[in-house]
Amino acid sequence: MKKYVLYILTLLAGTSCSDFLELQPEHQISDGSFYKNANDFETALIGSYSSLQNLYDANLVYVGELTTDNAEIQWTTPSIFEVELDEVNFTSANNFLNSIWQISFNLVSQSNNILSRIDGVAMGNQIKDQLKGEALFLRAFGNFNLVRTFGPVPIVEVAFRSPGEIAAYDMSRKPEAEVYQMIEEDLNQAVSLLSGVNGLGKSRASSAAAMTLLGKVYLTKMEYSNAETALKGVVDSNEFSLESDYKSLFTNGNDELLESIFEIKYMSGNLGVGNGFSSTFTPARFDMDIFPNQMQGSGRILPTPEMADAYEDGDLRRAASIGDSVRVISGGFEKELYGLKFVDFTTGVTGDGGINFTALRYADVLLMYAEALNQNGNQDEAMNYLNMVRDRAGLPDLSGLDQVALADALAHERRVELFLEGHRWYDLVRTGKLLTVMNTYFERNSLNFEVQDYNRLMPIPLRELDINPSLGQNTGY
Amino acid sequence: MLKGTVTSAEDGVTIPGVTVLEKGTSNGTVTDIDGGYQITLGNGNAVLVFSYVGFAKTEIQAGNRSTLDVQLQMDMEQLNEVVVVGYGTQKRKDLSGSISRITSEEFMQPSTGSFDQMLQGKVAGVQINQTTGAPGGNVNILVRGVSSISGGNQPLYVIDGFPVDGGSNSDMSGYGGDSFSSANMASNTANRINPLNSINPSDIASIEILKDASATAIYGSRGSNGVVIITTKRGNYEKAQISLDMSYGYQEVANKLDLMNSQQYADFVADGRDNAWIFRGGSIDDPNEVRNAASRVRPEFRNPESLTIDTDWQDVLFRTAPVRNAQLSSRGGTDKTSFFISAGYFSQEGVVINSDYNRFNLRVNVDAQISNKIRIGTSTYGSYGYGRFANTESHYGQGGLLSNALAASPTIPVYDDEGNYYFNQADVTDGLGFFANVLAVSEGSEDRRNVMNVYTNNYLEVDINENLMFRTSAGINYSSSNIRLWRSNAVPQYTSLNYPATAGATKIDNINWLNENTLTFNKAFDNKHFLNAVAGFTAQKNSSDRLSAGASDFPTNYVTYLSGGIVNAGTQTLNEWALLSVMARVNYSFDSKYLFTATIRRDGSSRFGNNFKWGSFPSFSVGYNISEEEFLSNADFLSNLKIRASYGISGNNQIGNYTHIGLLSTRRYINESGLIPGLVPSSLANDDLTWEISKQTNFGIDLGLFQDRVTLTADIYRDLKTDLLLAVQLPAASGFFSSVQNIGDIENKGLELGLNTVNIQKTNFTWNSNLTFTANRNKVLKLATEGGRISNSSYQITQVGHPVSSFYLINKLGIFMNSDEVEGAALFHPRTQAGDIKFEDVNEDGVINQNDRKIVGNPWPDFIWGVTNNFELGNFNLNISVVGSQGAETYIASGGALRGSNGVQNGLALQDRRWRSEEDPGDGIIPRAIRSNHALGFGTSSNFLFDASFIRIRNVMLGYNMPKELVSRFRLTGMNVYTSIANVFTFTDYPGYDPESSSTGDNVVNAGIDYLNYPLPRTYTLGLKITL
Repeated sequence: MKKYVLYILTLLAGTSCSDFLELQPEHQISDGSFYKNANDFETALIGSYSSLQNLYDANLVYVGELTTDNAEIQWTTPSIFEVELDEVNFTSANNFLNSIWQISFNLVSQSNNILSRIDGVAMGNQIKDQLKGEALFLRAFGNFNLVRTFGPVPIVEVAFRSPGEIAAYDMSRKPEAEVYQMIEEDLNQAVSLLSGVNGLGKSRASSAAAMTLLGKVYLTKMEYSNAETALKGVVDSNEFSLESDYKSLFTNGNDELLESIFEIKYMSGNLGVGNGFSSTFTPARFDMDIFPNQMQGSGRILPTPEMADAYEDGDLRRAASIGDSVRVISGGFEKELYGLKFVDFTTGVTGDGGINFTALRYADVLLMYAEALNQNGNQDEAMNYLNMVRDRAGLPDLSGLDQVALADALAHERRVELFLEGHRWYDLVRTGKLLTVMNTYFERNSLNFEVQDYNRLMPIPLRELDINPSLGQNTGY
Repeated sequence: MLKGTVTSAEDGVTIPGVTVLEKGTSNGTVTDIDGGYQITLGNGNAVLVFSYVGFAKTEIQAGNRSTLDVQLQMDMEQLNEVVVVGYGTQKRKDLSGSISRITSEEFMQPSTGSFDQMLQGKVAGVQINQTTGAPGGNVNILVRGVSSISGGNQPLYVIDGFPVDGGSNSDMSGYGGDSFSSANMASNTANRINPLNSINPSDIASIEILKDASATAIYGSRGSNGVVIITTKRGNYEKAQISLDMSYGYQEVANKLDLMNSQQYADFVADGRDNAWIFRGGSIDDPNEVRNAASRVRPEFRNPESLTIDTDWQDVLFRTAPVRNAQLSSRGGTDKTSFFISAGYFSQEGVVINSDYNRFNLRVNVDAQISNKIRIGTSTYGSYGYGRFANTESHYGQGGLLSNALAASPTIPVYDDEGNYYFNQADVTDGLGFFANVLAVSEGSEDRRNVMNVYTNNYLEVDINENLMFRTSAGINYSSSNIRLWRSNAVPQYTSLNYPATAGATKIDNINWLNENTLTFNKAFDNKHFLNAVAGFTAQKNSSDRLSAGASDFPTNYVTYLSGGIVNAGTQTLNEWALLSVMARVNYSFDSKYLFTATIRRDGSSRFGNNFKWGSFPSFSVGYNISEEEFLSNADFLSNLKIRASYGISGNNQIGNYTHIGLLSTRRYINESGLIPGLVPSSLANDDLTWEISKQTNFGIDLGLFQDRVTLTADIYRDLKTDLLLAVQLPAASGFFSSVQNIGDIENKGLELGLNTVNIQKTNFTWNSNLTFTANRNKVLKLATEGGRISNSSYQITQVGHPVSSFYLINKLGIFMNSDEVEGAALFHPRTQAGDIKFEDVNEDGVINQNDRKIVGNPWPDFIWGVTNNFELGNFNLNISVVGSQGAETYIASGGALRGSNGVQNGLALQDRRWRSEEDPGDGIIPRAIRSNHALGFGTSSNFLFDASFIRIRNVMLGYNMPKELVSRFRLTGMNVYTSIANVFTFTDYPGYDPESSSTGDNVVNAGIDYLNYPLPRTYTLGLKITL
């Protein structure tokens, strides 16, 4: 009797109530119900763009500036990882490098998500091309950051839908040449898919942004003819011009300027989408009176004294880039060197700065173009573009320089034009000047540090090696 | 008229106070001081019931007698004790599983808000940790070791038959995140009120803790972490009794830390800055003008004796605080209906200013016999708890109160000359971020919470025939909680002195309904074979709706609610789970000697992936009552000897409601018009996701000697946890950081002992003791990858071959006492000097870096124990309980606040023993003060890892039963006065407030991190219990 009762109960339980156990989250979107139309893909892209905020605030700026003769730390208890950057003594535990790795691969993976699904969804060809172009741009952007920071890195071209697929994929590090090949293919495709697209705004990818990035890629590879061709496209498009007021590029209201090619947007208002440059670039004092609420700086990335002296006399850019003194609460001024770019003096809340970051701008293009022209033997045209930039800065033209001297002049011009925008380290590495410039800098300032040859590549993050020891570490670390 | 005397069968002594009741009526009396009674009976067929605590209830037909003398037998409690098992009860002597039972008499201690604190040290195999001293705060119950790495570790709580998920979401280690923006205020939903706190401890009749698989497997996919069954008091079919229990106590911080005074602090600061300046190449005689800002020393610090102000900031933050409790209950019934009703109020102010917790509770338990074969009943309960909570955890830059009080300089006063809170940034930290007066921070932050709980479980029992009973029950558990947070602009955040005010509000509504249906069969064959079987079917569903909002842009600080500002953040989440189950159990015993039990349960849950929706959980156990055998019947000294063994499989389903579904989450970005939403994949789907499995083997022995004057229960177990959910770390290149998979194995093995002894038993004096001892060894057997490793936190890893969450740090060996020792040693920084920390070069590569980390300890104790001694002398009763834990380690994440060597903040007075020079090397443990991190291996060294072993005198209670004459003069049945001290003293080397504290609350797997939890109070109580 008992047995039958048991059977009946089991039957009852098993058959009727399976719906009872199928519960879907009502307040969240699952991947089965998303990626259905153009709007969904655009929303996914926006999610991808938003990771750039974290990349530039301030991981890429730390790695691009603090490691060089441009900037140093000026507060009393820096984290061990900030010290590593300042002293060019990188270890694999460095959290800034880890962030760059993660955010860059996030860009790659989200683009893969979009690219792998978009072909199967019905939508207008125009919009499909645009979305694909943007995804390809972001993928190349991520890969470029990875290869120029870490050297050989894994290549991922598919989207994953289960842990099993990830385990089965080949995640070994591929030679730089292969990575670059993928980047170039992606960017070339992006250039064509995005040509004719406008009205998206400069926080989104565009054909010009893809060409600019392509130029930068070729310069890094020292393929100067290719660089010249790519950048010529941007110059000839006549879409961009230099802003007459240099300062306007880096203060409130710097949205959609004519000089901007690709910008990272930030917004104040305590909404979690601001940036922290105000405190990163200003001194760690407790008595400054330069921000509302008496907000104080944290002295993380401050100009070195040499940087402050690097500007030529009459250079209008200095006043917009470097401050020499701060007003203090007690009245009066104290001498301090600090950065001015992207520092938002209208907000008194840490991390809530609303000034956009110029990731790619026209002055950069002109200087890169000049560099390529110079290397290709065309000094005159090169000097032409160099002087455009100098002119905006209120400096006299240069003339009659030979290739070597012009290369030096361009390197110097890049330094003062693009200070605090995250370029210096990568420029030094790609032009082969890292060791000479940095080691003489350390010597001149009696600092007991030395840059080694292997420092041109940064160490693979510890987390990745812990998960997959077969990745292998870069030499020297 | 009938009269007589009642004596004890044991020794013939008369017993006063025995209840004599004419069965079926409310006609009764009580024996007098000589054990005599008189009663007028209603009718000639009356049956008299004699009952008294400690003696077996005896019923005798009155008949025609005029005198009836009665002898009462001592209640052989251990053997005839009835134990609540899942879906039924069993006599202790028939039990073959491992279950511990505590009755209310054994654990009642006054003036603690929650019953779980009172169990500490009383149950073998169960580790009970009060992780915070905050009123209403979390207590962890861990049965037989940590079981799960990603899933929950909480046992299942069954309250009057209603299974309730444990876990209180009380992990405070991430409170506030990086900022207190309005969005973060809206998402600060960590819980400060322990849900078990809603149960009034005085309502509890007994607590059973099911430990081995044969006991827990009947709870199937929820039993692997143990089951705590709570049974509340029910009526009796006797004359109603009313009891009133009132107590008043006051609390103070049990262990105040010994910090540096002004002289020591000034010396310390001067030392730190001089050393920093020398490190930069200067000389100690250089005046302030030539030094950099970080190395300057204020002139008055050069002359410490001249400092007149010596503020004790702990005294500013702490206070003595009262705690009150008043409970009124009534219990009784007629012969057909019985009831237990209680109502009470508990109120506790906290020993940290601006904190408290209060609770109202009301309960009605009724059982009624409608007809011969049908019974119904209800357990209905309501409670409302509310309070204000203090943010003691976290860094002062985020408003952490304790960190503020510990770091503040003693050389500044609390108030300035005008009576305002003293604040002069230059005095306080010299450039380390903003640091407001702790009173301003406490006043400027508000954290108010309340929880309302309404719960009812109702049953109907029908006797189908004399062997078969059908029972069905329906119940609902509803809770509604509110959190209201506020931070005014007087509370700084790191580098913003006047970080704008923000507020947050969260409301969580939770409904859980349950329906259970069981058939129970009982039959005795030939009086030798006893068969008991249960089969059933249950359904349960839970829906939780959480709504939260955050606001900023407050023009003033007057209105601390959302309405005073502009609401610009918030969200709503809905969470549900559903469970369907079938279960069955068979108990068979032969001649009370041989016992067999088998159970099986099949659970289907909405949490499991599509390929594994249903699971089966079987168990079996055997027991052998050796003492019932013929050959032992002459062994008088042996009152009980039983051996038992069990094996079974149970599961853990605390794996998140939607973990098997791939989800996307929002990321906001901006375009020309403002904010725009984006979506990114946040989790990877997994159709194979399923419950965690526990396969447990248990051997036990129950021994009773000398009429149970000595009883010993010993268990030895091995619990293999497989298919543990682990967030398998994925390479970042995949786009996901981790995915949850069933992949890990952990093993817990251990030994539990419970010993009860009646040391002395005379008429006027008894002394009995209760000891528990538990030793558990935890080891990880398998992780996601061969030789794999999971980082639980910045300081802990989980690795194969070691316990879960072992501390993985660079090992500090000591201090370099002189420069010779530095020569040739492996260094963290090339310019390490004498007085800096010496680390172990684990990989012997001559350099100290992250590759030299190794496992240096773990947060789990080697063993825990408890001893309770109970003395009764005449009407006096003295109860002393001591608990201890040995071998656990704790990492003080606020190490910088207690023993930072920067020479910037205040810290423990131990800093006086630091290394100052080769001639004055200090104690060899505390490094020199220097305002630079190079020497300290900042972050992940064992410098801040401490032994958290302790012995604590948990409770001392002295009570006095008023003599009967006095009591009856007030027309009462009993009156008891008591006084007690809780947390009398703790013997420990731990330098923080409390070796038991853990900032991760019920997130047990990350235990062992102390980020300045609310300190434990010592409570002095005076109470009165009256029964009518």
